[in-house]
Amino acid sequence: MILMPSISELHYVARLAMRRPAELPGTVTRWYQRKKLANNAEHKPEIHSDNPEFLLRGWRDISAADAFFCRGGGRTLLRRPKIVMCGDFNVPQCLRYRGTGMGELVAQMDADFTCFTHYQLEATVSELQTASSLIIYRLQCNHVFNVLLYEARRLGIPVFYDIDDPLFSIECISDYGNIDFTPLLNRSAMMLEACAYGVAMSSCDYLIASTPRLAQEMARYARRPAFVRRNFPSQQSIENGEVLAPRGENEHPVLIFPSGSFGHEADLNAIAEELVRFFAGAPQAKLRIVGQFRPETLDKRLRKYAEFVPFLEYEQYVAALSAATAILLPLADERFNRCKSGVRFIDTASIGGVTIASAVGDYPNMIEDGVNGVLVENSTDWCAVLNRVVGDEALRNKIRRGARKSLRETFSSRLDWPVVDPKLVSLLRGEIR
Amino acid sequence: MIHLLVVNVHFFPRSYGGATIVAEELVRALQRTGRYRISVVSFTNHGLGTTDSLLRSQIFGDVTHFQINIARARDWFESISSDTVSQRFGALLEQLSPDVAHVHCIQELGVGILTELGDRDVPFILSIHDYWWICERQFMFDATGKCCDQTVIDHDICRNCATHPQLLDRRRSLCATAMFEADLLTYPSEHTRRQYERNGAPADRGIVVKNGVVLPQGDYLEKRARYEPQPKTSLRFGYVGGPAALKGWPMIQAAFRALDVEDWTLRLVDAGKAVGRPWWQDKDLEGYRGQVEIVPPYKMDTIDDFYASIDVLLFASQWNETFGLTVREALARGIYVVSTDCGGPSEDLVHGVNGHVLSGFGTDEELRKTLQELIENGVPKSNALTASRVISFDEQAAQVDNLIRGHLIPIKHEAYG
Repeated sequence: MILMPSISELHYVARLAMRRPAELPGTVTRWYQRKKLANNAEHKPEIHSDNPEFLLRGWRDISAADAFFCRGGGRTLLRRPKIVMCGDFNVPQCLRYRGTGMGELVAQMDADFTCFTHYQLEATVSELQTASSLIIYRLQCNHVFNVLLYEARRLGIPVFYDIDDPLFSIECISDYGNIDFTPLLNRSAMMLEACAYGVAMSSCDYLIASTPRLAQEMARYARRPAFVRRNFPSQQSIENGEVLAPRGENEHPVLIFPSGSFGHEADLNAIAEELVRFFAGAPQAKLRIVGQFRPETLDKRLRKYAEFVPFLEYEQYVAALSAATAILLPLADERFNRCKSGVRFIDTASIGGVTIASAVGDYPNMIEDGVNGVLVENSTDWCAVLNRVVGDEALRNKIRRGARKSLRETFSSRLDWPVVDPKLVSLLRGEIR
Repeated sequence: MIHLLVVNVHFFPRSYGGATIVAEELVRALQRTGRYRISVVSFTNHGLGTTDSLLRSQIFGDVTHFQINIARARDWFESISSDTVSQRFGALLEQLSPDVAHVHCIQELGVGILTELGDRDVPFILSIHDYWWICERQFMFDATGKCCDQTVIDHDICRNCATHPQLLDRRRSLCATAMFEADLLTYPSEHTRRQYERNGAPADRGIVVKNGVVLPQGDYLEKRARYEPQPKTSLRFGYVGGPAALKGWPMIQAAFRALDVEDWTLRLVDAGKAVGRPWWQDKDLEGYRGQVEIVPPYKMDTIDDFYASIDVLLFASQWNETFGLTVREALARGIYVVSTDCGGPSEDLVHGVNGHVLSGFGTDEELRKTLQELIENGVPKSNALTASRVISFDEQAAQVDNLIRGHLIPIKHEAYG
């Protein structure tokens, strides 16, 4: 399989080779693994066609005939609304929650939906001809974005910009701790790219964010109306989770830290002292780190308790969570993290996991302490919270039931709060402008 | 408002061919009635892409035009039947949900689109403009460039002429089946209707609806007076068909070269210039006693100027045309027409009254004699029948409007209760 790096990725690797050559092999290996997973994603691009030659010729013809702009957009033509989405879905989680998730919501709106990756420009532009709205996901202001926006303007259809991380925010990137732990991330490069994300966002009509805090940030930067569309589990995930739910307790506590595809070393290290204190009192307990994580960054005192499980396909990852006594979701209290969504809580709650999360990001909006999870208000409270949870089986069972219930009844696919702003639904339906 | 979907292989801004002019003018005329919301689907082949694509534009004010674009090289048979185009068309039908459709020429789009219309209970009129449905060569002339005079088409004869003889039966089967999907078939002439119905087109739903033409403007007679040379010393002939043998140019050339009088002018319209390929540039136009002039192509807004500058139109097609737009344009302007007996074009000609119809496809000598007679005796004055048998696009649209509202809409209501 031939996997092509982007220009920015090549630049990064070149700089890394000059400055930190020892990290190069690991970096390339992780890049390859991530790209391989992306290629297996549901919307794998079969044809990488981002040269819209047909469009350029077509534009010339209709320009010459004074027929370039269309009035009224797709909504006035179509039997029902049609939303086209195109974006950078290289990470499977993005496709699952932002792409497929949007599709599930749109289906409830009695509207049509198609979703493409940014490699499928020709196909996207074709579908746009009969669309009533365009959603662009997580694209910088590059030539794909430019063509999509230009064509949407020609067709007279509204453009929404969806993103689930504050990649446009220099303020958020400036103090994001995980960057220092993740070789693939370069703060200067991210700050420059923030401009490209910011410009793209500002060029669109409406903004879609995965959390209220992120919506506020987007509105600040782009000065456009921003709406919340939270991530939520698919019905299939909820059903699969019922099957995968833990059936018994571990002999000794197993604490799982899901580290994701990019590594969250800074988040775990922020509570390292508290974990050391906990393991001092529970030496038989295990700390299982699932996903991308550089072992050498783990506090030395924790290494004897740690097991490392590599990054897994989604179903295997969720199955691995079911082995946990408790699942740890620490988040350093930084601007970047305050915008984060609760996707990892969704993953753990889907299997009825016992989630212990920092009261940062969207966790406080999704977790009711002691009901469907546990919130840790201060980073110095982790040891006490862990002891409480690990020592109380009844509490854990109550939280397991509460977690699944909260997903089924509150945070699953629906056309109103807390999952989605009803005004966004009206906009996508074409009921308001 | 009735949502009407119009389908033609070409459409503005990629206008090409007489059928496209008819389709475009009908859309404009139906739009003027105020009773229709109109969408159009046509075909293009831009670019080098590997997938099919779609492009929307807005033309004639508020007509939505979708071009289905296939950029890759295609197998010949895909111009007859294409799953790719059918699927794309079907998806459009789902999204647009038109009430009725008017289908014109569909080569390149393929017959599958008619099945898509039928599957979605969209009643439609299929308007025939040429012989594509029953002849692989589209115009019923053979591989040597001569008119094919088959009335009931025999594929054993066609196998000597067709470019893909092994696919003739399959083509015929697909086209015949597709024609039966139509709720109505319209033909531009009786000749065309008879030819089709002899060869399998459904006889219970075919009617003749003549094509309209752009009628002369109010100042046409003033223009004629302006263009009339004073004193008038020569007869002015006009010819629009170009140098192709099928259009009869060799016969016209021979007839004029054989004339021993010199008081005539022959005006040759160079329609090829409109697409950057002049017709008459390197043709031998010597050896005539009279005047031969090349005139630029006319458009709908300059058509009156051309006809005001001639007395006789020559129409010498060597094959059976379905209609003959230029013949009607001339008749509508009181121009005498000399024509071969070539099917549709001669149906509105009354020999000796508004025109002269040669025997069959004519001969050099018969044409020469006719020209000589006209030059010596002048053009017959009486052409009272002329205007009454030629209709405008608005009148054609009125007939189509009646067919849609009187025939197709009731079918639609019956389908949906």
